[in-house]
Amino acid sequence: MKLARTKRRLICAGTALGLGVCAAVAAQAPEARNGVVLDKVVAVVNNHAILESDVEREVRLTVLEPGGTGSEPRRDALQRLISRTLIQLQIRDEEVQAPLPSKEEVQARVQEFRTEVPACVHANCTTDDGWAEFLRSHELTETQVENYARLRLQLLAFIEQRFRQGINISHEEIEDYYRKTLLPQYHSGETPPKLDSVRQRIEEILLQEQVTKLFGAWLDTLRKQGNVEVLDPTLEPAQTENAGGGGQS
Amino acid sequence: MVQWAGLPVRKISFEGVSEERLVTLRGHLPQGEGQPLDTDKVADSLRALFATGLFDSVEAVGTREGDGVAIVFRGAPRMFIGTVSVDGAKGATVNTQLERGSRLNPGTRFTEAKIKTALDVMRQVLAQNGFNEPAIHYDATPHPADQLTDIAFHVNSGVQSRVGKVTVTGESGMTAEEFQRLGRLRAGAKVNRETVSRALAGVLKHYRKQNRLEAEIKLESQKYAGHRVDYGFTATQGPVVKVVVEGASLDKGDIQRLIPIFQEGTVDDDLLNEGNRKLRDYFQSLGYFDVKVDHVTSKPSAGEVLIAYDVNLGAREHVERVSMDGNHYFDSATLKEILSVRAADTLDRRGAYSQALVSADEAALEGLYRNNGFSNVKVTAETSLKQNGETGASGASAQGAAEPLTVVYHIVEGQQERVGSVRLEGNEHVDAATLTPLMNTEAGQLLSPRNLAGDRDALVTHYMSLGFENPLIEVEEKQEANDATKTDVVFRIAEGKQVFVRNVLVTGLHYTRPQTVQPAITIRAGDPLSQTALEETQKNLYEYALFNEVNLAVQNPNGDEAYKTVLLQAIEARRWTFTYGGGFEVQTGTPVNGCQGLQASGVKCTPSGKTGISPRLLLALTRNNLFGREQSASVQGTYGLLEQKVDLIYQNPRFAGSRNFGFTFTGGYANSLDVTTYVASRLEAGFRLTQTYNRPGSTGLFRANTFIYAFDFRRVKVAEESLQVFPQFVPVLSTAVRVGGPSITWVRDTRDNPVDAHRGTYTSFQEFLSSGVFAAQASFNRLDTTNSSYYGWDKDKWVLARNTRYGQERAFGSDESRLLPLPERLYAGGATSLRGYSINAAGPRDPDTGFPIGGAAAFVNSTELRLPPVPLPYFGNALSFVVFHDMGNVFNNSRDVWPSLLRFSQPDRDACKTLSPPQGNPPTLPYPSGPPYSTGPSGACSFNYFSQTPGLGLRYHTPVGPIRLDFSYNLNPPIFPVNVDYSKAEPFSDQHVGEASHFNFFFSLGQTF
Repeated sequence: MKLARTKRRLICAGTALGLGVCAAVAAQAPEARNGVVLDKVVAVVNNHAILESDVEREVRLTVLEPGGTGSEPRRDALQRLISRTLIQLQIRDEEVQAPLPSKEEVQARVQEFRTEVPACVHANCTTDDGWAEFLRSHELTETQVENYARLRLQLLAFIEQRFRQGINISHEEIEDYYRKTLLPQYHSGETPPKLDSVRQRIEEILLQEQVTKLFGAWLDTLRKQGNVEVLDPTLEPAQTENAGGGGQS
Repeated sequence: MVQWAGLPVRKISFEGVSEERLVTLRGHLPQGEGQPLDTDKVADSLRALFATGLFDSVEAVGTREGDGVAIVFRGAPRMFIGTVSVDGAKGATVNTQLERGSRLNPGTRFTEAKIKTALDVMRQVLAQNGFNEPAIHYDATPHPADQLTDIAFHVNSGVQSRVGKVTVTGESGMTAEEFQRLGRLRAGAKVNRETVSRALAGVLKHYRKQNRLEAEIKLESQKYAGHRVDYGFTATQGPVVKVVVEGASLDKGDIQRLIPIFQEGTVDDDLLNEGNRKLRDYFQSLGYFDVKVDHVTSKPSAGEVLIAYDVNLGAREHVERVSMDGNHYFDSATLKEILSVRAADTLDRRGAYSQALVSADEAALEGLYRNNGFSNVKVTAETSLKQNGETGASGASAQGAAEPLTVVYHIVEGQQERVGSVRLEGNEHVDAATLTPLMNTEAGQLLSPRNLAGDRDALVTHYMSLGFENPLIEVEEKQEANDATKTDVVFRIAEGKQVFVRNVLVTGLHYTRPQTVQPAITIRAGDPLSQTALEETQKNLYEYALFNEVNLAVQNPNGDEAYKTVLLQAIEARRWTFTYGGGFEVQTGTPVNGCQGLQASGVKCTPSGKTGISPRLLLALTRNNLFGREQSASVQGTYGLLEQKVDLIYQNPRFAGSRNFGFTFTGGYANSLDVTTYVASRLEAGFRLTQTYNRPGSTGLFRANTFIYAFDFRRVKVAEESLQVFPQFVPVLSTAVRVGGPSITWVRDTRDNPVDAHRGTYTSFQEFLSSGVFAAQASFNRLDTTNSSYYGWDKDKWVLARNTRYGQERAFGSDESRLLPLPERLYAGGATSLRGYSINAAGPRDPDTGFPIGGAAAFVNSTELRLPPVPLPYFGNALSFVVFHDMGNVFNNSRDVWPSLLRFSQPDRDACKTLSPPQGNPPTLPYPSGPPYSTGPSGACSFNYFSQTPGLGLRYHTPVGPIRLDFSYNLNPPIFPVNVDYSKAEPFSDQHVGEASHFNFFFSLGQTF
């Protein structure tokens, strides 16, 4: 994960020059026959559109995830968006009264990003200047991060109600993830967070993994019913990513 | 995009979908013209556009324009399914099966994936029908302007497969040949949709007959090759299941009826426990209120399962008393009316009790209280079973001894609550003044959950009728802080989105003119998209009787468009229809066919007819959809012993486009023999204008009215050789007569079911005038009225029905036209009239032949008590009895009716016994005495009295109405002189006094009235 994040930094570095290059690449790629594609629908989930800009933002927000980005950041981002959209639609359809996170909870989560996320720790996000620079370098705004945090909290609340039943994440699994996945991402000299302070977040990640397994079958069914469409061929998942991937239905 | 962020947007345009469909979005997109380009707003605009459902994909494309940016929202338009049709498949209903199976719903999105799925399903359906090598291709015809694609499938079914090899595996207990025989899987037989299910059902039935209730049969495989299908089944016969009931006597039929394993054909714990409950309820209904039932399953031998129900009956009791306490708001008498548990009485020696009934009573009582403001009511039933049970267990009460049971319902009413205030919240588009009158709940009313639920439904219905797709209404009840007896009610309304109709696309009108159906389409462009209006339009179109199917669909149902297209797809009915039918009546007094009147010889022609069958054959050829309008022309023929006729009919049920007026023209020829006295022929033509009149919302006289304004012209003739009357009357009565003139009829029909009414009334009033003014040769005025009423009670199991008919005629004009033609007179008698007489045989008779000749007045009163069905083996609840009384008669003059009302026997019967011997040579009869009425000289014998006829009827209820068998006994049939009998070689050789039969019976369809 650390490696992936580094690659991304190479491609779209957090400097003024790099940003310009990055933007220019983004602008040239979707050149249309009579102008520039400003944005477009790249996937559809139950008639709900996912835009190119959503994917780009999701890619940028990936920096806030402990796991970082994978080898196919845009494809992975789209799959996460699809999953998240399906959950959101499920919440709507089932009229589930998942409690909305309070402002304080959202701020607490943002604070966690600033103090816990490895990339952020490297960028000295604990200071306001460092945090502002971190956001700017990743083309993110405070509002976007807050919205992201709010949505994550809301979805987790739903997961608690809808999906978590029957799933238990043991202490051993959390410790295992902490030792084998999180700690190796910190350079020598950097101080990793203590297990207790990230226990809840790791539990969320592991829970998400478990839920994803259950969710995969459901998603697969929905896709077979033609409810998930990926319109941009470059974002179609590889054939091997059967359970979590999207596809033309 | 980032580069251009902040530049002014000079222009926004759309490509791919017509601007007209997006007109409501123009100016309402988050990214507006003149505003700085904002990435988030562009994204939100894209989302809004995509949410319309009109695009398959959409993108925002920017170009520099001057100092700013021009944006084009460009996309691939989404296509939706228009019409779907299937043709070419073999089999009567296979095309329809394929169309439905394709699940290509009009209005929904069209995709190739859907077509592929549809083709797969259609192939499966065809394979089920025995067509394994079909060729299916389809034409998809796009209509880009409407974003619709019509799909037409063309099927070549190919060769129908036949049953090949059948193999059976498992412990089936039978050979493959036996399996094939029982499953009707004959090798070489054509495969159809029922082949497999019939095989499974046939073999399963065989197992069930052997009481192998755990048998399992499955189709494991079916392999197709060379137009043959090889089937592989697995069958496990399972053990023989034996059920015994110990401790009580119960015959086999009752066991099979009460233990559900026999109906379900399987054995499991749930069904066995259900058997416990059913046995318990059954024995409780017999008075064994303390019965205990349990069951034990064992395997006495290999291949056998024994299920033993152990019934401990306890003492046989009766319900001595059912009472309640704690009730203050309702008195006990009111509450007892809703109870199912019932104390014993004279007619019901045991009363009614079971635990299920007690539970139902508790729920019913609580429901009643809750709906009257007692939201915390609690009802608990207490029975005296325990004590009795103990007594029974001690052996003190022998089986059959009656021990009383008492049931007391303890009611804790709690606080009664009233509605404090009623408020509506969230009704942004509909004001409270419109919504409040729709609601029953008002301040000060008792708080009723039923009313609240009803009000919520009424509000939802109203919102949906205004095009709100998904209105959500929550009812909040909140007790007032300072008054616990008051609850404030708030209806929280989330109106949702209102949708309107863009246009209505009508398809399927190949022969029907569009303007014909236009009045029926009550939903129009610009209207709210109301489910109610859609259903009304569909109903209106079905009323036209021009269509086999009328389907309404909304294009782009999931899209976020504010205006949507309604697809109205009609499938026209066949324009030519040929209908046929038959029926018969069996009755006493059927007029004799072949009786040759004056020349009759060897045929027994009696004034009373004979007991016989009168069959009837009906044929009709109709051309519907005449001129593309809701008009029809038909030729209808009836052939029977009593009547032969052919009619040409033209019908226009919506005269001048009005649904309240209909026009009919009829012309035809009829030959009838429904009076024993003569054979009449009638050549007629006429038209009638029918008006239905209902004042909306009226419950009184202004509803269910029909007026018929008619003009009829006919030439009636009685066949001279058929006339059974005094010889000198023959020439004048057999002369062809023109009858013509206007008539008006008023009908008011409020019956709940015209075929078998339980409630309501039926009234008809008809006035007909035939006069020389209208070129008629007979001048008379006829008034005929009927009134029926029906009173049902005990859930309409019992019905008291009554019917009264009064009619009178008066001839006028010159002498020649003063005599009423025989076919135009009033008659009574028969299955649907006065059942004391055979068909049309009541009233005056010819003074010499004794044959009925009709009259100028008629009065018939019938009263029926229709009894509840009698449960019988094989017939179920289909049979019921009727007790009836008919009275009345037909008279020479209307003034004779009322003085006859209390006359229970024929007046001056001696005069009827006076025979007139022939005089002269050749012998002739003297001219009849008596005053010249409109019906001619009537002789000295009077029929001015009311015949009284009690009777008993049997009704066999069918979906098309009851089949009727009536037996009647006329207490006072008339006598009459028979001076001549033309059926004899010597007509005067058998002068005698005739008498109408006391006993009559009638077999026909439908209730009497």
